[in-house]
Amino acid sequence: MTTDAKRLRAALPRQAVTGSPWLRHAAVPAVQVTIAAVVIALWQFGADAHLVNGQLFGTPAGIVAAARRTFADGSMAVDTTATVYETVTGFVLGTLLGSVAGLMLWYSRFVARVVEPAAVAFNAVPKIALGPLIIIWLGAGTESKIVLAFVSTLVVAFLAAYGATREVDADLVTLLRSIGASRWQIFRKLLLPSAMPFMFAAMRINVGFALVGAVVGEFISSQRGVGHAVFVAGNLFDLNTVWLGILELSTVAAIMYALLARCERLLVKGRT
Amino acid sequence: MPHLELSGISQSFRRADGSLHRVLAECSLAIERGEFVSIVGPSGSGKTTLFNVIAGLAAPQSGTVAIGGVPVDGPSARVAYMLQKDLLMPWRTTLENVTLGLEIRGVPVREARRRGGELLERYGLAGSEGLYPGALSGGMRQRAALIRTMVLEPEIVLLDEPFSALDYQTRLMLEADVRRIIHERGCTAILVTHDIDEAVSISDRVVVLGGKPASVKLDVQIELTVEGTHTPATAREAPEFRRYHKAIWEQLEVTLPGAA
Repeated sequence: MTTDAKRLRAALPRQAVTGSPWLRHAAVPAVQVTIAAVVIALWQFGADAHLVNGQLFGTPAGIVAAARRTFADGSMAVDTTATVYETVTGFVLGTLLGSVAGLMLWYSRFVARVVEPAAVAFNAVPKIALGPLIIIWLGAGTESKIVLAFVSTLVVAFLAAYGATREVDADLVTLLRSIGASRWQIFRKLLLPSAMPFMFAAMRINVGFALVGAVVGEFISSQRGVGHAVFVAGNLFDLNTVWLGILELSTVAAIMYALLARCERLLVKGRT
Repeated sequence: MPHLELSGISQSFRRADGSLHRVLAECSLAIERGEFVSIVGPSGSGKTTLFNVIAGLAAPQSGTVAIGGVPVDGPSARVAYMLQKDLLMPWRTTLENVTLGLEIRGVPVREARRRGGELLERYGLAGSEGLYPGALSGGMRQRAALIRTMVLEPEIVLLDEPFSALDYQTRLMLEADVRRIIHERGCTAILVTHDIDEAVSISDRVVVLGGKPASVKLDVQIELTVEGTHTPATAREAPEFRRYHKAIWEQLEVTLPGAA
């Protein structure tokens, strides 16, 4: 926002925003929780009153029971740990390798022009279609899931980092050169920080992609993982356990987003 | 010996269609130490090309640039420049932006911060050391850019329309600051501008570029009778101001729409 717009807003009468500060901050989450509670209550009531087919849709009480059961027998811990491990490892490897490769292309326009069309084409391939291949090559263990999460995130991170190198202000590069900066100094002091917001945008997308990669890998062939649990439960028409798996995956995604947002606040400075 | 000497600078570019576009032809100019010289010319008159040659960012196709008698072949630590865009890095605080050049030249962080902080304070940016550029006004940003330039202690300061994006009041204020700071530090300054008022009110000397390809068409010493301290505002009140303005204007060959 420009300073003019800020000044204008500061000059506007205060009553434009109503209510006490507490109410303003609490209102949104309060409404969200209320809506969720009402939906869950209606769902349970509907199932109890046989208005909703609990067998086909599951029930909140059934989901709670499934959570208690899987928690007690330890399978919840085993499955979520496996999925988190696969997702995070694939995400970190894909993001790191993709970003580093994308940024390196700044050093060579020639290599960039050779690689770019291939990267764009590969980006358009739904990576989960590679699942069967990867499982045949690497087996049904964790490695194949990690590799699926990895290939799902790699190209997004790569293209984002590469795109960021092209957005760098050419006048700033000239300014640094005129001060006598080496190529490595330009990379560290200009390229890396200015690419940071682009790379974080890619990471936000990649949290979802990494999870899809890991879970689909588990669907295809696995002994554990939330995807495995969901797949097995789905075949048994155990919809409550399926819902539970979905909730677990959402929680994992939410935690990853939160961690990412925290990293972004630490690393990306001066953005208003 | 002149501080900065350009002799016989010619420069041309290959257009997209392959034809040759000659920008500068046989430009020669000698600037004394401590002089404040403005280079004025219509758009496309090769001002920026000349600027890049002096800054060592582009090698001239023919002719030589010498600073203190030493030929220039690339960016030199003795020359620093400032552009219309402030080029502050949004992820660095004002102080961190100001110390960027020192950092690159390997000055220890503490020393760099001390020197940067000192200049920020001296030139009216005390208190904004820790702010990010997004929180500064246009005038403050350009002032920070000026300090980033001056902290490198250059002998020659190149200014490429650094005031043109500012509103009138801020512009006058910053012009006064730049003039004062540059004189105070004993720097030689070259200002590229298309604003005649600005050139006459701030400089010791105005050079007009013109023609296609461009060469020096007018080279005039500015001597203004100013009452009180010389500022861009008081300079504009000097009795000689109009005369210089007119002389330069006539050289610019401005064809107004509708005029035959």
